[in-house]
Amino acid sequence: MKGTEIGYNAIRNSVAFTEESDLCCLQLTGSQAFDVFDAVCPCDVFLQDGQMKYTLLLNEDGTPFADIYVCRKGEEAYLLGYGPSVEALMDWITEHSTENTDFSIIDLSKTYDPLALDGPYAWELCAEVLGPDILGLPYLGMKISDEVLVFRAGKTGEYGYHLLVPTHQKNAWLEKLSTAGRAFEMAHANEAARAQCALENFFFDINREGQYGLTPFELQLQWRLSSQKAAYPGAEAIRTRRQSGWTRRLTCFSTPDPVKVDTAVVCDNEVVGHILAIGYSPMRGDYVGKALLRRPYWHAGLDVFQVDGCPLKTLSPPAVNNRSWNISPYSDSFRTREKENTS
Amino acid sequence: MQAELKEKIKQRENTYNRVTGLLISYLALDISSEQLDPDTPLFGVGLELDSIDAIEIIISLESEFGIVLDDGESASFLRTINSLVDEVIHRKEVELDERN
Repeated sequence: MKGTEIGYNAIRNSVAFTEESDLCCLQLTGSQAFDVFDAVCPCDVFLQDGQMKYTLLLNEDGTPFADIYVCRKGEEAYLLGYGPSVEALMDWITEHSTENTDFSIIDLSKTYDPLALDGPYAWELCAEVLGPDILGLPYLGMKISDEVLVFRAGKTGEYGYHLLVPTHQKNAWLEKLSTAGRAFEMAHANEAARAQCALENFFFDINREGQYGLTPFELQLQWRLSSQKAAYPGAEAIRTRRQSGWTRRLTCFSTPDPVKVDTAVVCDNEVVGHILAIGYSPMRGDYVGKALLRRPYWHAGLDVFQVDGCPLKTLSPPAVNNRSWNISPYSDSFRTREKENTS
Repeated sequence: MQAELKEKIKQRENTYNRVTGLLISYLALDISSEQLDPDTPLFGVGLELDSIDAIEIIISLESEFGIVLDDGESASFLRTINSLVDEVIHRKEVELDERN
């Protein structure tokens, strides 16, 4: 089995480990740290202690600049983001926060290393290395445990944790995870494995469909925006698009054959859209992806399309049944699963 | 567009509109249907619903579509608006098949 497939299988069936080189981790301090969040985020930023929220940072034309989580822990504000470099992200926030002066941005990558654990039993491994309290951490919750910043979130559809470990303890944590992970058949997941899982679960990938100049309306990301907030970068473009409407939408699909990105999607000899992302799904045994389809072809459940002569059907994500949905930290265990599988 | 496809899309849109309508009314969402995307997650992120809302959705499905979940039956279709729409359409098709 190739590395990507090993990592994919671990994410889908046990637990996978990744060093997240693409995750930007910032901390905002100062009395106006949360005012800064409020100024730059298109969502309503009401965060309880230990709560995370998924949102975006938008360019003035309404297209995503960064795919982010914002988080509150006590009076500390955290931002985890994908897309731009740490430097570009810090500059962008500073540039768009001119009305707030009492804050500073700390680049956590200088003192912490981001690791990720994803999989239906990620919670169990986390509990072994960080203590049982971690089991009580809700989805989109954050806590500090043993000097490690733990964020429960992910983009695979399975249990997921981002761990920011102090850089000087990184090797010790890697060793700890590696040792404890053996009992869980933990494997390393590369970017391709994680990207495939994200694709199957229709998670937004700023480095993939985020590169097509689409707004949250075409990307089906309206839930990341406030419906009432008036002032944030890109607000004018969002307002205008909301009023004028949109005619194309990102739609999940499956096809039995590999086709190239940017290939036209055809229905009755008419081009109705294009492929923006595609990848082989080992769990399904076919290819799943995202196509930008125009109205009224943008619905799920239609098996009337062709792409390069191959049949293509639209579907409702997730494209796979995530094992994590049927696993509870309060009644299941990887060891129990092993017994069930061998009996 | 072929008439058969046109009819299928129309049915999908009708069901989708009914499902979003019932979500908005039963859950008292302060949002219009245009502000909902079909693949919006229902729980955790997206609409950020909770277990009480899940019960409300199940009650509304019974009241609006006559869908009754048996004891122990999986409610795995409660993931996105589209997965709810799929379930409603699937159950209608099964019902039609059984009638025929």
